[in-house]
Amino acid sequence: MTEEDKLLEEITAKEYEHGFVTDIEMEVIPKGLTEDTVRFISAKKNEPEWMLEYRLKAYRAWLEMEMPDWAHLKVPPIDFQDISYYAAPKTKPKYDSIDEVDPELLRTFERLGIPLEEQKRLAGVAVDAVFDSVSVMTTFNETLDELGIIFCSISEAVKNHPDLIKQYLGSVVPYRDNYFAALNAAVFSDGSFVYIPPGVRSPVELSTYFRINTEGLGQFERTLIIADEGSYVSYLEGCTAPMRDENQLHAAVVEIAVHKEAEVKYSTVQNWYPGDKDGKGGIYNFVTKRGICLGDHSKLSWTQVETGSAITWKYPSTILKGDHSVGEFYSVALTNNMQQADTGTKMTHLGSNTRSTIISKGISAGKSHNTYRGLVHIGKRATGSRNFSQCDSLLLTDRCGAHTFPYIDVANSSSIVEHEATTSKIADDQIFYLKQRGLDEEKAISLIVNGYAKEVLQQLPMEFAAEARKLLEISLEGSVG
Amino acid sequence: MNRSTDKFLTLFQEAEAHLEQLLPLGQRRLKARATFEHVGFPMQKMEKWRNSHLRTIRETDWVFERTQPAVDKTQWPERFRHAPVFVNGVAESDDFWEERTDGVQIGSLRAALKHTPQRVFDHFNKNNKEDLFGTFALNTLLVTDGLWVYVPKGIRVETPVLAVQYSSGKHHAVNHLRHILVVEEAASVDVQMLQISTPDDNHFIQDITECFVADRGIIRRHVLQQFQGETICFSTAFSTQGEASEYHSNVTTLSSHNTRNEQHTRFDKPDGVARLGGLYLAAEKERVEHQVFIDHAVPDCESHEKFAGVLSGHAQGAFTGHILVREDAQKTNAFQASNNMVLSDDARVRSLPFLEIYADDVKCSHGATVGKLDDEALFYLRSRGIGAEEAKRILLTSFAAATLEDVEDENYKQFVVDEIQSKLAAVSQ
Repeated sequence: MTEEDKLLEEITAKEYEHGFVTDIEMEVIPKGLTEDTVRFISAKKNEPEWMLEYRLKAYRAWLEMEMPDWAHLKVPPIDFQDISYYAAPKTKPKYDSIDEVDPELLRTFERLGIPLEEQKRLAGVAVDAVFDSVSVMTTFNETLDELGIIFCSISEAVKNHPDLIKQYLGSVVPYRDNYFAALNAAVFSDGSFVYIPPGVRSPVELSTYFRINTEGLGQFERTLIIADEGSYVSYLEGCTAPMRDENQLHAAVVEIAVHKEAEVKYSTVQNWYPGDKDGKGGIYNFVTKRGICLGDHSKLSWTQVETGSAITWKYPSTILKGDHSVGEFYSVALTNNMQQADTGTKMTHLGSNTRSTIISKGISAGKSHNTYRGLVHIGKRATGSRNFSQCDSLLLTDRCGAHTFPYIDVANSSSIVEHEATTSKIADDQIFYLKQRGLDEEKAISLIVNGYAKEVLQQLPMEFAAEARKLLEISLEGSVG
Repeated sequence: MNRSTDKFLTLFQEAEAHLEQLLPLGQRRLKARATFEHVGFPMQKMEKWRNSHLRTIRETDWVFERTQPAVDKTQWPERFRHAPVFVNGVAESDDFWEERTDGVQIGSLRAALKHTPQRVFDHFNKNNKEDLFGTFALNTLLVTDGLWVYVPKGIRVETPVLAVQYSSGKHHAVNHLRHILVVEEAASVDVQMLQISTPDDNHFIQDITECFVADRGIIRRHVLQQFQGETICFSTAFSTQGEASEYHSNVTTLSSHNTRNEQHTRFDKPDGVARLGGLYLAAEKERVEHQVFIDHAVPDCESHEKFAGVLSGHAQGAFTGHILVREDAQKTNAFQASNNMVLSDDARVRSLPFLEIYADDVKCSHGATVGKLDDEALFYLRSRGIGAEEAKRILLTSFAAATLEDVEDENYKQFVVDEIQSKLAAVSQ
C-alpha cells in the first residue's frame, strides 16, 4: 500500500465528527400522521383555536397533494406514517438561569460549539437553541427587548404576538405552496420568530441552532422573520445532527417579510449527517425558504453553505415586489460519497428597477450528484431590472455528477439578464503547482476549493465563515482520487 | 388517453390505406401506432413542452388532404425557385429521383423506397426516438414523403442540395415528412432547405430529418423558415455521428406562426464535432421555440451551440438546451450560448440552458443573456451620422448574423444575411 493510499484509507475511515447521541428522556408521540396527530401537537403547545384551524387546513391540503418528483434526485419512498411528529425533552422547557439546564444537554451544545454561554454573549451572538422541537433557552432577551426586537420561539409568538402571526404566517409560503410546505404547516413543532421594529438595526447577529435527536423523528421547523421599515437584521442558522442509520426527514419552512428600506441577511451553514460512505442513513432535507421584499429599496440576501444531508431539496427564493428592491443568493453546495443535492434559488422580479445576483458554487466528489436549479423571472412591470447569475461546478471524481438547470423568463424590453455557467475539474497544473510548493494533494485540493468558494464564504459573518471553511475541509476529506 | 391522441388515431384510421399507398411502410406504421397510443400526444404540462403552444392542435379537427394545390412561387427567394418541392408533404414530381454515376442518390423518399428499399429501411427510424415524445411516433404514423440523400464512401458533393418544403391550404390538413440524409465514411454533403407556407395556410406540419454521419463524414444542414399563414410547424432533426465526423446545423426562422424546432445529436464515436446554430426573428404574435439535446455518449467530442432571438410585438421565444455528458465521456468540450434581444414590453423570452454532467475531465459552459439594444453602441453609431432606424438595424443584423458564423457556404450565408436585413428593416421600425 502506498503512502497515499494509506493516508486515504485513514481519512475515509474517519467517522462523522458530530455523530453522537444525547441521552435525554424524550416525550415522543406514537408514529403516524392523522388529524389527531395535528390536534395533539396543537394542544400540546396550548395553541389557540385559529392556529389549530390553520394546521388542519394545511393537513387536509397535504392529503390531496403528491410528493414532487421533478428534482434531479433519487428519493427512496418515504413512509409518512412511520415518522413520529412530536418530541420534546421531558425536562421542563424553561429555565431561569443556565445552571438549571440539563448538563448533558449543555455538553452536547458545547461539543457542537454552540455559543450559548456567557462568554459567547460577549462575542455578540444571541442564541435561540432548538433542541429537537421545543426551544429550551433564549439568551439576550433583555438587550433585544430594549430595542423592541422580538426574538422568540414561534410557539411563544403564537401566544404573545397573535396579530403578527395571523398577518404573516403563510403569507410568503402559503400552506398550499408545495407538498412539504403543507406538511410543515400541519405539524410544525417549533422554530424561531423574529420581528425588528421600524428603524431598528439589530445590534447582534441572531442565531439558531437546530439539532435532530430522537430516532425516527422528523423535524418540522418554522421560521418567520419580519423586518419592518428601515430595519436591519442578520440571522444565522446552523445545524448538525447525530449519526443515525435510519433516514430522518426534515421539512422546514422559512418565511421572511422585508418592508420598505429594510434589509435581512440570512446565512445558513448546513452540516447534517450525510449518511455513511455507502449512502446508508443521513438526513433528508426538504426545505422551503422564501422571502419577499415588500417595500421599495428593501433587500434580502441569502447565503448558504451546504455540506450535509443525504438528500437536499432546497431553493431559498426572493420575490422582489418593491421597486428598487435587491435580492442576493450566494451558495456553496458540496456533496461527497452518495449525497444528492438539488438546490438553487428563484428570483421573481415584480417591481421596477429591481436587481438580483446569484452566485452558486457546486462541488461534487465521490459518487455524489450536485444540481443547481434556478429561476430568474422578470415580469412585465419589472422594467429596468437586472440579474446576473453565475453557476460554477467543480467535479472532483469521474463518478460524480454536476448539473445545471437554469430557467430564465423575461417579459419586458428594458431589463437585462445574464447567466453564465462553467463545469470543469481542478486543473492538473494547479495541483502540480501547489504540490511543488510542498503541499500534499489533499491540502492542495482543499486550498483550491476554498479559493473557488471564496466569493460566497466572504458573504458569511466572520465566525461562521471560519466554521464554513473548516467544514469544507472536513467534508472533502477522503475525496481525493 | 388525451384528446389529441384520440384525434390523430382516428385520423390515421381513416387515411391508413391512402398513406400506405403513398409510402408503404407496413408494420412500421402499426408499430408506431402502438407506441403513439402508449406515449400519447405531448401535453402542455410536460417539462419539455411547457413553452410550446398546443391548444390549437388540441382543439382543431385535423384532416388529411388527398389533392395537391398548384404551387405559387412568387413569394419565394430566387435561390430556391428551381429547387425540387414537397407540396403539402409529397414531392411535386412523381418520380423525383437522381442517381449519379458516383453513387450519390438524391430524390424523394417515395422514389427511394422504389429504387433502393433495403437502404431506406436500413436507416428509416434508426435515429428517430419514437418513444420519447408522441410527436415522433405520430410522424411515422402519418408520414407521406420526404427528401432522401445518400452519399457513398469518400464522395464529397460539391454543390449544395436544395429543396423546398411548401405548404398551402386552409382546411387544417396535416403534412408529415421524413427527410433522411446518409453520409458514408469520409463523404460530405450540404443540404439547404426552405420551409415556406402561403399566407392563407393553416396546416400542421411535422418534419423529421434523420442524419447519419459515418466516420470522418460531414453533413451540413441549413433550414430557412418562412411561414406566412397560421402554419404550425414542428421541425426536428436527429443526428448520430461516427468517429471524427462533423455535423453542422443552422436553422433560421424569419417568420412563423407557431414553430417548434428540435435538434437531437448523439456522438457514437470519439472526436466528433457538432456545430448548431439557430436564429429566430419573431414579431407580432409569432411563437418560436428551439429545443436542443446533445448526448455526449463517448469521450473526446466537441459541441458548439449558438442561438439567438430577436423578439418584438407580442412575440414569444424560447430556447431549451440540454447537454448530457455521460459517465466516461472524458475530454468533452461543450459550449452553449443563448442570446436574446427583446424589443417590446409585450414580447416574452425564456431561456433554459441545461447541463447534465457525469464525467469530470470536461470543459462545459453556457451563457445566456436577455437584453435590449446597447444604448452606447446606438449612440456611437448615431454620433457618426447614422439615423436611429439604420443604427438599430445595423446592430440587430450583427447580433443576428453571429449565429451564421459557422456556416461555410458563403453564398448561402450572404443570402440569409440579406433576408435577415430585409426582415429586420420591418421589425425595427
